[in-house]
Amino acid sequence: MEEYTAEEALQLVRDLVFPQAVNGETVQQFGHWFIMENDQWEHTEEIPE
Amino acid sequence: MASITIPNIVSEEEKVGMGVRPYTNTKLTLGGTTTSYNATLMFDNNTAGGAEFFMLATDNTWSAGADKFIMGHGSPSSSNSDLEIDGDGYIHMARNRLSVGNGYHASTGKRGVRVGRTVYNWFNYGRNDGHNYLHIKTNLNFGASTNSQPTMSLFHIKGYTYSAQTIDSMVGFHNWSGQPYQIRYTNNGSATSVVSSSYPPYGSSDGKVVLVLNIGNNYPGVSIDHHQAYEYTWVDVEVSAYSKTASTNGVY
Repeated sequence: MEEYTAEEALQLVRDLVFPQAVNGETVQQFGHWFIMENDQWEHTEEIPE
Repeated sequence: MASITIPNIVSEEEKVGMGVRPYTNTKLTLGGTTTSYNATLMFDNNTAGGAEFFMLATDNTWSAGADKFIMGHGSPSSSNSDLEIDGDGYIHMARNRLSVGNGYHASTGKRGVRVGRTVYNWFNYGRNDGHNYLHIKTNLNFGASTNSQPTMSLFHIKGYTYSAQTIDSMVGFHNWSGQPYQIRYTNNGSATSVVSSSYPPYGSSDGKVVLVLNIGNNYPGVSIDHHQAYEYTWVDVEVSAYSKTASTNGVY
């Protein structure tokens, strides 16, 4: 997997579309975790499965 | 730097060069300025049934091509080359076919060949194990509480059964928050119920995607490719378990 900085990953994930994502949901992409807040992805701590 | 030279062997600080000074950051270097064979390594087993294999770096004298790393069996020659890597990193099978995997029935784990974002022959199955429904448990997270592995996945199932059926079926979906969203079932072969909304992919008790295929029990054989072309982070999905059952849901 390519290594992305947290900021690079945040920009990339904001460019992706997750059609079912709603506020409060989390996603892992590019080696980082994100949570949707106010209809926008923000960094969050790693979430165990 | 201290070095000793024993005809054509150069040793420098625990590094050895044969015909040439040791290359930077290597323990053993073969090389030199004579043409054709100066960078050749041979494995020569001289017992009964012993094999002869070579690997070498080519130059302008090789009909196999210059600037290549080649491996083969028998004496070092272009005609005995089996595998070639060129200076741009392209890999070429010089003879026979590329064979990947053990060819066994229903092997779990990471099988098949990945090309880009598609794994061909991701899983294959062929046996009369009784019942109709093949449950294939993957290690792909369904995303019940978090979405660690979202994909836009398509599974393409191809095969044949002794009921004179061809199988060419597909099931595609977006795994998100524990659901297979926007799922689509397509049965293009003569077997028209291999995938169906009556037995959709489901989440196992530990939150993994399980596929359900109705392949019958009359000498069925299928090969499945997994496509995930959409640009989400690639997930190297494997089969962790499978079983054939009369149930359409809840096996795992």
